[in-house]
Amino acid sequence: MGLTTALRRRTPLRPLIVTAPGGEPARMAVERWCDRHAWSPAYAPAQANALVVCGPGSAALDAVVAEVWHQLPLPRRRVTVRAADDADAALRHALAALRSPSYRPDDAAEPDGHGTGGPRYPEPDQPAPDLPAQGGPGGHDGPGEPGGHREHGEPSGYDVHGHEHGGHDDRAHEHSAHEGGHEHSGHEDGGHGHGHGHGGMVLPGGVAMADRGADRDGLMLDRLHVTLGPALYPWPAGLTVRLVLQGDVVQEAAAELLPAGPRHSVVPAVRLLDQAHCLLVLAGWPGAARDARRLRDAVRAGAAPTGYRRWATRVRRSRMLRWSLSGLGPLPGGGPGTPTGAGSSAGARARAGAVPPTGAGPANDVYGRLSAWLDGLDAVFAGRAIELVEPDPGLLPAALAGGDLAAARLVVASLGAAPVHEPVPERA
Amino acid sequence: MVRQAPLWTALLAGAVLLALATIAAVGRGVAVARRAAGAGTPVAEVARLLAQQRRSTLAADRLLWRSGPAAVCVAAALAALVVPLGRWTAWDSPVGVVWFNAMEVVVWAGLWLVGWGANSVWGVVAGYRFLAQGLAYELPHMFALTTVALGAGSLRVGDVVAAQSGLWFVVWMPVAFVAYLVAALAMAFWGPFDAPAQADLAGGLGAELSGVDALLLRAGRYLMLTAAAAFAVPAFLGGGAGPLLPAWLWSLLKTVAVLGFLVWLRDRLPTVRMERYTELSWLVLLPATLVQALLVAIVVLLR
Repeated sequence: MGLTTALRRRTPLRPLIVTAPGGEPARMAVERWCDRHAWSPAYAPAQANALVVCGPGSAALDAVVAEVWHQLPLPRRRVTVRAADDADAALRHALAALRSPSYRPDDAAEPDGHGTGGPRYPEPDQPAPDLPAQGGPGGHDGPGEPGGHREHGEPSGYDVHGHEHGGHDDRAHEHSAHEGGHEHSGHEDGGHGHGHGHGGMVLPGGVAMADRGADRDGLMLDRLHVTLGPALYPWPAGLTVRLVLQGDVVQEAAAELLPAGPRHSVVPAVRLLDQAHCLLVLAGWPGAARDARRLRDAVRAGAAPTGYRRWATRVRRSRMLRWSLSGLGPLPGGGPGTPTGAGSSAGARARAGAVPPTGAGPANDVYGRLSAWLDGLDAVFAGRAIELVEPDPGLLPAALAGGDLAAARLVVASLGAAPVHEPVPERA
Repeated sequence: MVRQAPLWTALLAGAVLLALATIAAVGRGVAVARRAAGAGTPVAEVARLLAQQRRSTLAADRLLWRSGPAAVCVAAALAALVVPLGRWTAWDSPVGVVWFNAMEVVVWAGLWLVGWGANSVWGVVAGYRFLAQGLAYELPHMFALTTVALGAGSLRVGDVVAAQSGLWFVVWMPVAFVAYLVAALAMAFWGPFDAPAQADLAGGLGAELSGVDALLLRAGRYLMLTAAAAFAVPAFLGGGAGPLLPAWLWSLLKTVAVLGFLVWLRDRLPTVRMERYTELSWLVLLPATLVQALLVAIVVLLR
């Protein structure tokens, strides 16, 4: 174990950030901490070595968190960051624990002592008997964790409709998309709960066949039920979106929100920069997203947003971004992304040809909404007051249906708070 | 003139490839952190992944899933065999250009297996994305390589280098060079063609990989990017030709320059959506490379 210990001493923290409703300031503090170390957060449990829950816990979120926790490979730590001020101590503590030569996975379930006082989580690392269906001996090919562990059998994404695939494990929690605390109650077939019953054809591993349904062309295709959120990053706090997919095309979508957490008075500029950061991460532009985060953190700290103009110009001028984001997620009849009377970017108008005929106005796609945020930021930094209009989650299903799975993430990120401000005189 | 080196230099080719890929990863770490301290991040990540548990998913096809990342690494190493270093090449194959192309198609198989084997919605969607991307980049890429072979009148990489003793191919085949660089980014699913491994798919191909499997996939990506950058040097940039310095050093310097450019692009551009790129590729890039091939063919016939 000498080598493993030596390797571990260098390990960076790769957090999977789960934001509880009201946990946004804590999340921003965690992101800032990661930026300071030049470490990037994980996008899926498999990539992470720490599960960082930001904000106050709630029973519904705890269920999700407990499920996602099992999907993190060892070594791992769980951290609760209740408030922004706790982030530094909690994360440093977790990192020290991960790097410690005396790390034992059994310790890892303990919520860290810093800034928590949070709920006591169920012990996830109880040894559980491997069932034959789980593939038996392949279970221990990691570089050796002492005791108490076997491979996790989550299908992490395939939540095949009409059965339950928890059969490998006697813990009574469901396995669904790895983001999800999927309760299945929203499905039209309802009523299949926990357990080991597999109706119909059962394939190795206990996964039954998917059911089928007619797609938009009238073909009978497999339907997949995938749940996005609330343990997904970057993702709006507390949001759960249930999708019915055929291929990677969203056929149906339903959205629900966890009960709202404590309200923080957020400066509009911080909110808009944060939204831009999330959207740019998902759009695959890490450089611009990092700059948006830096600006956001500068504004939060009360400093001048130096470099804003350069960043905004770069984002506005990117033809590639416009090319990739325009035409995505049109809303029926304008929607919240349409700032009333705001000078929307000329770029979005120029590309209006790429917007499907259903689109009503230049801001009626993901790119248009991002442009509206930039316009709002321009107004704020020019000293004018703006107001933010909260998004209506009821708009999501219509915006998601018909798009592909990846566009769904972009569309969700784009339906943030929209700025409303006085008509801007034509920009020079 | 490029000559066949002793057999053991095949190992040297692998070592040089690995060293260059490491430089690329470290350079990217520095660029991300915008300070020298970031250089340690890729090294620390390697340490983290080596000590991490290998995770599996329910009903995963473990054999295929785990051979995928390894296949990408092996394909990159085999592709590098035909790339000459100055005057020497580890394998002076008479069909070196085709060999390089074939190895890069092995990457397709490897990435598809990674996506499919995990039995995860992210992986499968990402695998299909890569196939769509492959169809979009592969034809312009093959016409770019065809143009190179046409210009040299040979599929032997050594002959391609020799044919550039007067004028580098990049000068009179600029379209083919651009198409080649685009394909180099796409085959390593490197930004802006990193849609198969993007955050919007929770990491896509790598969404379910942990430990040494994740390490192999990331390493394979850098190795493939490096191999593609290295092959651009004999194909378009005159191989080891250059004043003062020895030929092997010129080969290395040119490779580092191309590689540096490709790595630098990562933070400059957002990911391009594949359905948009497919349109561009089939309507603009493919005809453009065909016209380029036609022009080169006419020049070859007339001279």
